[in-house]
Amino acid sequence: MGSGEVAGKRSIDPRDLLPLTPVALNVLLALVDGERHGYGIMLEVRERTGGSVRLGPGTLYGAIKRLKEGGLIEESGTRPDPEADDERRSYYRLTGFGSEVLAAEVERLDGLVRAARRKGAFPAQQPSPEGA
Amino acid sequence: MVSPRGPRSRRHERAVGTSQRVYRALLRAYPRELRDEYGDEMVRCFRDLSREALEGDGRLGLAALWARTLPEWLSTALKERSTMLARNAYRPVVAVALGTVALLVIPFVGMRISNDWNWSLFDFIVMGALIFGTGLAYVLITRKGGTMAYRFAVGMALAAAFLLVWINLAVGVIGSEDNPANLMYFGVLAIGFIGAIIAEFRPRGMARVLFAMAFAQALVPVIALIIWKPQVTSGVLGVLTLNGLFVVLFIGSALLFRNAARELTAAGAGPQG
Repeated sequence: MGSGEVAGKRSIDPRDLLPLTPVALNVLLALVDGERHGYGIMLEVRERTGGSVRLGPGTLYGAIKRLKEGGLIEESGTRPDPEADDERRSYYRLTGFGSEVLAAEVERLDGLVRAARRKGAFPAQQPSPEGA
Repeated sequence: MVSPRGPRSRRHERAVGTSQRVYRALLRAYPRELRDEYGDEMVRCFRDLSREALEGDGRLGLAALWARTLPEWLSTALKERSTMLARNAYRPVVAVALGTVALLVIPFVGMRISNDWNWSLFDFIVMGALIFGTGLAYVLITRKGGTMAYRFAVGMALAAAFLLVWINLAVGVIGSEDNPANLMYFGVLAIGFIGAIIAEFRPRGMARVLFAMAFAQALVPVIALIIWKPQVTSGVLGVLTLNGLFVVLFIGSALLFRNAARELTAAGAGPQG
């Protein structure tokens, strides 16, 4: 997953797919709150990152394709609000395996951040949440 | 999101529609697999982005969206194409490489047992590149299957192109390899190359391309005769005969492509333009 987002079939150990690409990580994070369609994922990522990450359709659907092939996300059969939405839209949601991979990636990144903090690599160092 | 249907709203919807159509056309740069599965969704996404940009910042917003989208489109299309290529073509490429080496063994052994065969390292490199390139083109064009007629058509067209390049590099079809008239044959190959890309290798379009190549091939000696006005000798007749052979090969390939298109239509695969 590091270089190609998802290499192919589902891996037994979620850590085999790490590190995730920034795009894959953003897509998975967008789906943590619930299922979304492609445009919804774009909006969530843009809002969460304060506009610094804007996924284009090519980037987004390339990632969705690979994440689906890897079993990290799946198409949802249900629609959150069938009345208010275009019925041709596909909604995507995290699979159990996808949640495991995301958790493993967040843990990995957390370890990196803590290591960087210990080394004083932050420009403006803040007190750590643990009070260490 | 729904705005009143005023003139401004109608103008916006027209601009969104145009934007959407242009983006749909650009999707052809992506591999068919991605387009078939996600093409409609990508267009809907882009339509939503266009509508949002227009409602937010007007035409300037739409221009900014396009300025962001075009580089993204180019880079992701290249990435998806190369990923697809690496995924689908790895084993056949190795097979073509091994086949190339096996074929190059023939002149290598020939040089050992006969003094008539005298290839330089450059000759081996050029011939290796030619064989590998032709084989790779065949593998890539036919990798999604296709009917027997389609495969034969591709094979015949590539074999003719291979021979045309080889003969021109070795001795030249017209006169010697140094005769500038031979450069016209690269125009024939260019028609095939550009035409195949435009036709997206679909059989009906490929039939037209091969007919065009046959016509161009027939035109080359005619142009050469008009410009250089040589004496009609056995050499000239030989050139005409050789050209005729290539014309027959290209027409044969075109007919096979047309047959493949008919088979697909009969099988209910839809129009193959």
